[in-house]
Amino acid sequence: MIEIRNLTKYYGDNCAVNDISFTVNKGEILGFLGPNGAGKTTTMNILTGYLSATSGKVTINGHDILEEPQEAKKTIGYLPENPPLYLDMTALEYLKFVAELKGVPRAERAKQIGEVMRLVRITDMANRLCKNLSKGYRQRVGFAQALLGNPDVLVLDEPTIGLDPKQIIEIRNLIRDLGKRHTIILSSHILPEVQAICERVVIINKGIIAAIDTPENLSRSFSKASRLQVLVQGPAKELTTKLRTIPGVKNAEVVLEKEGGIQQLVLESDPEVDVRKSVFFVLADNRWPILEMRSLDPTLEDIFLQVTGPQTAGRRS
Amino acid sequence: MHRIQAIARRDFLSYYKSPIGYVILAIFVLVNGFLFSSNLLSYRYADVGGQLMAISSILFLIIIPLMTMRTFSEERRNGTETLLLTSPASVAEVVIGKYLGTLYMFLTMTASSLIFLVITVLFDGNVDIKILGSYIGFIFLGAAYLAIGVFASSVTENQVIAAVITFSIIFGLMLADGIASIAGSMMSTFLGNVNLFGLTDLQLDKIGQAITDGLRWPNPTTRLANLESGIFELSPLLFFLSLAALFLFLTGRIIEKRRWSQK
Repeated sequence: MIEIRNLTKYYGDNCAVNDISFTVNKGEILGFLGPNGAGKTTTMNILTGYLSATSGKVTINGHDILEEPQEAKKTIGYLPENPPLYLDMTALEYLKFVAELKGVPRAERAKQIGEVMRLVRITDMANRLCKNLSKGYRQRVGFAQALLGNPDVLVLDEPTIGLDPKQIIEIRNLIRDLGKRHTIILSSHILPEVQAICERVVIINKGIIAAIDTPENLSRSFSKASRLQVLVQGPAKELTTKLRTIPGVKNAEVVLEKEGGIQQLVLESDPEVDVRKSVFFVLADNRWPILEMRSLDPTLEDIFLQVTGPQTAGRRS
Repeated sequence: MHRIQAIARRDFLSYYKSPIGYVILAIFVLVNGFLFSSNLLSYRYADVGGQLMAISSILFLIIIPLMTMRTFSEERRNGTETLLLTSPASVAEVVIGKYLGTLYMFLTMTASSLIFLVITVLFDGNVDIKILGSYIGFIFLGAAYLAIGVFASSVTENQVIAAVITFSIIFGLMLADGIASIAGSMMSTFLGNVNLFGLTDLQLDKIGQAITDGLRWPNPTTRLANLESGIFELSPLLFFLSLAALFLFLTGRIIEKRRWSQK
């Protein structure tokens, strides 16, 4: 569906994107992750045809973005970081203009505009000037704009930025729904969001792809040992010695001592062995009550920090 | 084609969503009305064509920059340029659409001067073919200047700078005409005094004349003289159209270039 091959972009001497390649399959939701300045927006701008790459090739639906821009652009709906709204138009006027620009047949325009406005819930804002819309609503009008013309591919640059938590959930559900019929690339710096929506993740750092896989595979391949955080009331020293005797446990450490003799421990164990039951029985036998126990599987955040940041950042729990 | 129309219509209507469209119309009607009535009061005749020519030689310096300064610079500042350039519209369609938007505004403004023509006809004033010539010249000159303005607006995302660039180019063209004969004779005198190449007086005069003509050549206003007096020729019209085409082409190149080396 979308094929990006050896894409490189220089701004003067500054290399923003360095030889990246990946493909997005039809109907897939791909998450594009990276710290600020990693080259996310540049990549999106190139694959929507707004910028030209220094070298490399982008094909959308078999159409090269440089050689057949018209055909390629027809299949893309793009929501840039700042929704490209004409502030002096009402939301409805704006969407009418975009529909015309995208060549939506006259007969279908009203119907399609009504549909996208309902989808992103801006019907009651139709006659407000974009100037007077809040950030969240502007974002939604921008979203509606990207959906017009029913493009096969949606490119969304930080689609939930500036929305309140309720709207974020709505938009996420909308993206997940749209993912059934559209191919979607979305960039984000909100990791749980990417984890929740995306089927595959590309982590990009300093213009280079640092990792590319499903969120689950990423977690698995980046976990060297599974870790367990336990909150127990009991003596620190005996706790650690007892816990270390459990088969499969490699290490047990008190990371924090709290009031009332409550210890926060972190256990490291073999990824193959589930030590939770044994931990429970050992502690119960000694009448050390467990107040909390949860596994510290590496989140996408850990992986993100590990692959993008300096080495030490990866150890943060 | 429908994309060009969509862009042109949006741009045309946006003039009336801020004071700018009304300000332009007000300036034009005010100055036109002033010239019309002062002609009537002092000379007891109406000269609708002459009014237009007077306006085109001075007021264009203000009207054209005002009309064109927003075209591309505003799009860039608002980020709406992304919408246009990632839509199926080609760069040429975007440029032509935006240009037509300013042209529609210009034609609307020009049409408002028909009031004076109607008044002249109603009161049995002097209406002849010269007025038609003046209108044609006025519109073609305006069309060429608008393209210069659109070009200036594509160079910068600052409207004020765009306006200043447009003003400077138009003013420069006018100025070149004003200093053309002086520059020509100065050059021939200079060459005569230096006498480096052993030129005869006749040759010196020819060089001076060539410089004068050369400086006059690109100036659009000098090409209006015949039209103004009711002589219709193709060459000045072609000149204006080429000038417009040239600047629109350059605008397209500027936009293309920015895609390759942005930021």
